[in-house]
Amino acid sequence: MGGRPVIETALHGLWYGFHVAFGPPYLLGFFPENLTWCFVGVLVGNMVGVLPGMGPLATISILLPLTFGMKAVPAILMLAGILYGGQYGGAICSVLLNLPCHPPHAVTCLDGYPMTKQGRGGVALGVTVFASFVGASWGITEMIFLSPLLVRAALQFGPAEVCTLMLLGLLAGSTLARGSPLKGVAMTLLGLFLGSVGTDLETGSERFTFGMTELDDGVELIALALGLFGIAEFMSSVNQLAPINMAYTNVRLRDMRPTRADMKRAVFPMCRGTIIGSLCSLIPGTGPTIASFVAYAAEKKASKTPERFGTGMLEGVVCPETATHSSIQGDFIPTMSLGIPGDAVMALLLGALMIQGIVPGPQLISQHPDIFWGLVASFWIGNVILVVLNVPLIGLWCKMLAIPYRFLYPSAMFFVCIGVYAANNDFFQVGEVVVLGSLGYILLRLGFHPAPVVLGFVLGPRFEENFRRAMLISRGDFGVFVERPISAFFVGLCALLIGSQIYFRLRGAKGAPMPGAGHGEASPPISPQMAPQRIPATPAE
Amino acid sequence: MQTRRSVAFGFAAATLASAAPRTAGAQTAQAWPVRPVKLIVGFAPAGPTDLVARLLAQSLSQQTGKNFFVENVAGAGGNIGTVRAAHSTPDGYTFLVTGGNITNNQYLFAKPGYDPLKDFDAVTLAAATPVVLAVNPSVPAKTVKELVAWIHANPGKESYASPGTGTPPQLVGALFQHELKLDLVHVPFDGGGTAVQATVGGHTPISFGAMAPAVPLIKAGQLRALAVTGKARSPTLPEIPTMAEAGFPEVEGFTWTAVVAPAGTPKDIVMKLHDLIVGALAQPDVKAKLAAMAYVPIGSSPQDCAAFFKSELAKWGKVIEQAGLKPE
Amino acid sequence: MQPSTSLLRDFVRKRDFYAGGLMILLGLGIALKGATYRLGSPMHMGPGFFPTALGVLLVLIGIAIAAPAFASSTQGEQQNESILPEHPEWWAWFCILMSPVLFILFGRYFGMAPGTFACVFIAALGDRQGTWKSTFILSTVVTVFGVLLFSYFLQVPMPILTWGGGL
Repeated sequence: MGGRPVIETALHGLWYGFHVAFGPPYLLGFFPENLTWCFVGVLVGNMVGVLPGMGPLATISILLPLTFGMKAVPAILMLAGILYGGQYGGAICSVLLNLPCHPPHAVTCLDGYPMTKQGRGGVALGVTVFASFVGASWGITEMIFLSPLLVRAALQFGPAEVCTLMLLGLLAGSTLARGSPLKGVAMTLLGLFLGSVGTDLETGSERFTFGMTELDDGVELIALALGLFGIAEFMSSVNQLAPINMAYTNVRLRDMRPTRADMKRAVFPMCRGTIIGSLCSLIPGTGPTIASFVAYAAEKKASKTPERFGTGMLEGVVCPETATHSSIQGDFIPTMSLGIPGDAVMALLLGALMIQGIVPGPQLISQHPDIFWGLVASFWIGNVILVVLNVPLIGLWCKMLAIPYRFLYPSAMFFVCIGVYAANNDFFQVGEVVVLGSLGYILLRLGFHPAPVVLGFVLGPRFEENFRRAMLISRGDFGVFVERPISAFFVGLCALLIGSQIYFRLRGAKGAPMPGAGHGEASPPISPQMAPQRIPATPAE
Repeated sequence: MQTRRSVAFGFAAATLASAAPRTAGAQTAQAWPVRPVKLIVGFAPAGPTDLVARLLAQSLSQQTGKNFFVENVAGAGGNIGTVRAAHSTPDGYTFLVTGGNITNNQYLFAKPGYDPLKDFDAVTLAAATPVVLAVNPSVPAKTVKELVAWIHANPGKESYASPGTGTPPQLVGALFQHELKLDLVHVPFDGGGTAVQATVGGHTPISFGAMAPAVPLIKAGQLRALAVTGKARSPTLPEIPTMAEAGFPEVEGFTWTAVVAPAGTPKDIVMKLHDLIVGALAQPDVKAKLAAMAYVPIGSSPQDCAAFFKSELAKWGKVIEQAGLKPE
Repeated sequence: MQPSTSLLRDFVRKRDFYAGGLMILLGLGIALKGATYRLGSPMHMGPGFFPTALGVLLVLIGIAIAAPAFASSTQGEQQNESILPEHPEWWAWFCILMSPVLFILFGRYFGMAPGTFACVFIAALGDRQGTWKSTFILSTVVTVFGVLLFSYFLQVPMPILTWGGGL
């Protein structure tokens, strides 16, 4: 395709999109209708996104019936606004409370929460807002200029390719938490197992459900993330915490602002996160959760000081957050230009369009330019609104930490319970939180980190399903994974990764003073310099 | 007109209803509905069954002035919602909007937890959409006959994608494969979209899939539709022949959406709801939106709907067994 | 006799010993249960293939984690790697884990408001600094706020007050 006309049409379309967004009809004679709904969407999304478990999926399902009475353009603008607005809210509790509000932000806990413990939670959030904007902007740019190209690339990914890519993600992700790589692998395997609970996609038989119908659809991801991170964290912090609230009781907005050095540190992680996020959004069935985990793992690999990840590295917050936002916006590309949703939220948006009588697909841009370009324009406007909205709010969120922990954690427990309940209106899944929370705490005490569990859980079913699909297509010939060029490339990378791990361990073992030093440094869950001081217990009356 | 007809039906049905053991009384139908009516959907929001349910709910609310709302009780291939509906009070304020899962799951699950004929009273078969047999444009077959010849010419190679194990498109695919004794492998995906994408990408050259995600790609030339598997051609793709027209009348089956009531719901209320749904399906707005999802409105009578369930049970039980989809 | 018991005491204290042991147990459980499902052929893999492979791998990794704990157990200078924290908070842990349980019971049988109250109340009891009064006030505030937010604003389908499980 010739470069010039593509760019010209795209810019023309974008211009038209802004017309749609700002144009008539006007509510109350002044507020442009489409823009107003976009604003409502990002506002609601952002606010609800802060609540643990109440992700965009729950919010959109709740507000979906409301859009039936609306026109198509404002309806989709609002629902899309909830989706990306929710992501801006999602990082807040991850960073401040170690509560991953929705799964893509679980990995943000790894370095975000240690930063909070060091009194730098505000900085983390500030840079996050900026990084989110950068990630989202790239995602939108991609959608404007590269959609057709990217769709063609995405179609190259068949089961074999997706399978080997997932394998690469699993291998890379095993080492993403602090501590021994062996323990990371063990946690990945545990996550893979938890992911295999439920109805087997190919044969329809039930696995590890022990006769419980509620487990037929597997373990709920939100319950897993909130249990392993949130509950386990409450259990290890209860009656132990003093320093966090102290650091935030008299904090000013100025202290929250990232310094120039912070921003400089964030530039390259932002770029890497953007690229990883946009790549992940293209591959079928690869949503923002995978993007953020892969981004963290890649950032750790790229870093000169990988051993400091998990102790409050700014890079470890910026890269996955950028990837999440870039992936969220990129996810709209296959949804809008093929009519094929990347994940459940996108399926919901697609349904919202269908009920308006609009079927997204290759003809969407020509048949409904107002929807496509209006959406694109609203993304940009929405993201600007979100930045303006969130920067002043950071101070407010940080003030939340000044609330004594004895009030904070019981309230958070409620939000966890209701958030998990609202995901499927199912009490059983609240019970899952109890089981997974206690498991998470035991694992934490044994020196395991929960992050690879979540990764294994998310990637596992996709890995297994696509592995089995590839084997079906090839009729049992394992050669399929190396015969196809893209797949072979990923297999090569996997081999390289394992090879280098073994090489470094062997070399490290030779020079090590003590046997088993490779993982002897399995760090305690809370590193010594920020171990909370124990408060002298005051007896309850 | 609307009220007069339902009153007449109510009168006729009242005598029948008094014979049923669990009915709430015959005078209910005239006033019904006096409070919000719940439509249970056994799937997550925005799936095909949910979308049809929501379209109906919207129109029913407008017609009656009372709130008809959808409650999604997703899980276990629709079984959790179906069981929930089966156990609901049959007072005319809870109904189930369901797809083929209500009958097919009898064979696909070891213990589905309900009996589609005994636990439910059929209200109406609301709408249906055919399955579309499509191929990647690189496949050198322009008709189903050529496709069959092509599969025979390439033994041990070809596979077809479906939206998932036990879904109506897969069952039609299984029927196709077994009736014609084709050397095909079924590759299940996790939804209509991803299945179609695999065929557009050429990974699985043949696809038995839902209409909605395939139609835009067929119109864009990225997929080649060979046949639809309904009884008649689809108005969405009028130029595509049915399987019968293509020479394979035995390969017939479609995705449908029906409304059922928990067994023992007063017959007059069932009749009134049936009339309301028929009214909804006749509305141009509902028609247009169903058409956008490639659905054809039906609105059969309760008796026809019950008979249809029986024929579906008889038909697919055999296919499911042949395809080896029986629960282990 | 004497050395073997001290050896035992040495490595039993070790975190990695328990960590590896837990993984071996989990792996065995997964593999054994997984093997009861059909394994299938390479082309038509059964539902049991993947879990069985996982379980076996987990056992191997578990052994690899636990092995160094045996190997270095003769060296007495290792720091105390007790798996319990310095000050176990059994009561607080119990309260935290009971909090969702009460939310389920009260939420299911009495509605959202009692469920919320019970959930927050029991969780707050776990804190040593809490008093009955402050716990009560906190639970009330969260209940009122939570019901307003989730029931009225977000329309989460759970009755506010009910009797005997209206679901």
